[in-house]
Amino acid sequence: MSDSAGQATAVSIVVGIRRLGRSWYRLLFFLARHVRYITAPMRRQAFIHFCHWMVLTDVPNEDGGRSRLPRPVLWFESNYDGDVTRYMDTFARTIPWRMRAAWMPTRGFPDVFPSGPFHEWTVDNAFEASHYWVAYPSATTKDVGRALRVRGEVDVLRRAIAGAPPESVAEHWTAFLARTQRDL
Amino acid sequence: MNCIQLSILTAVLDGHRDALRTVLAGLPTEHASPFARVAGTHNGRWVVLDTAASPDAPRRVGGVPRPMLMCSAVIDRSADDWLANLLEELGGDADRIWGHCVGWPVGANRVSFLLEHRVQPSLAFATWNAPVDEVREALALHARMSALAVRSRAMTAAQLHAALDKALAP
Repeated sequence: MSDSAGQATAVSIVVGIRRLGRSWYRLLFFLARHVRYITAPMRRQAFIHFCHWMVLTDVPNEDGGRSRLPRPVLWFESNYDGDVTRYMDTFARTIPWRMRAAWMPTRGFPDVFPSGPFHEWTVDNAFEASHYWVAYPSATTKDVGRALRVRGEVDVLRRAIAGAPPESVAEHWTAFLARTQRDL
Repeated sequence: MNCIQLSILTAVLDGHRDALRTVLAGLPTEHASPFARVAGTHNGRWVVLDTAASPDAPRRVGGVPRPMLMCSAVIDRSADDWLANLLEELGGDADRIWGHCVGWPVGANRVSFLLEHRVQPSLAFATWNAPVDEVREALALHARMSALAVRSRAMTAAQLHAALDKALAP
């Protein structure tokens, strides 16, 4: 089993959805796709590289066709920095109502507080990856953000020093350092 | 192209769950992982959804009747191209993995089979939506510029010019 690769951890949570939950998810996911405010805290926290939710109403069967599930299932996958309970804990503390909106319609969800039952529920419904790989294992999500921002400033520096006299390079370099000091 | 979430869900044949797990556990990891050889891959995983209840690991996945195999990846190119490339890189391992799944075709049409088993995400999120090569280049450039920022304090203008030429070289 391998749920981690360098700084990154994989989590796969698979859990049944309660009655009327499917309609709730349809609305929630529609809003989240169109209103950036809903996912803004996840972007600000910057420790999720990628994640996604899938609602399954049927699955492949033994005949090569598909069988309808007695109730829909929510399949959540995430690639993030840290361990699963810390990950869920951080979101529970910072965005409790969004977490409730995301998980309340699932079966057995005990609320995000107190944390003990919530941790237990998370671990109970998490499936380990049999194989996991990431392209840049030594980088956290924040590292990727810093690198992309510095890359943009390097383009500015490149243009500034192209054909510039050697004595002015130090000036451009100092300006570059001032602009990127928080990211270097 | 924006990153896309690709998820392929297939049903595991009766009695094949443990053998499938053994195959997946035996795949080379890190730089030798099959995903490492497929261009445009941010990350990839195989997960066996084990629905069998056991005293030490009860599973309560609502109504899923049998074990399932999920192959998922975040990629920056079309699913067709990426899957064709994955199958090419996997070689015989593709049959050793999905041969434990219902309906896996021998020989042709394997990309079509996988695409037919694709599950679309209801919601996908990315903090940074950049192609994988761009992220890798940015990380390497960041390391060079950080190192230069430290060294540059003791450099003359000419040395800095030369060092920048080197650090900014593609």
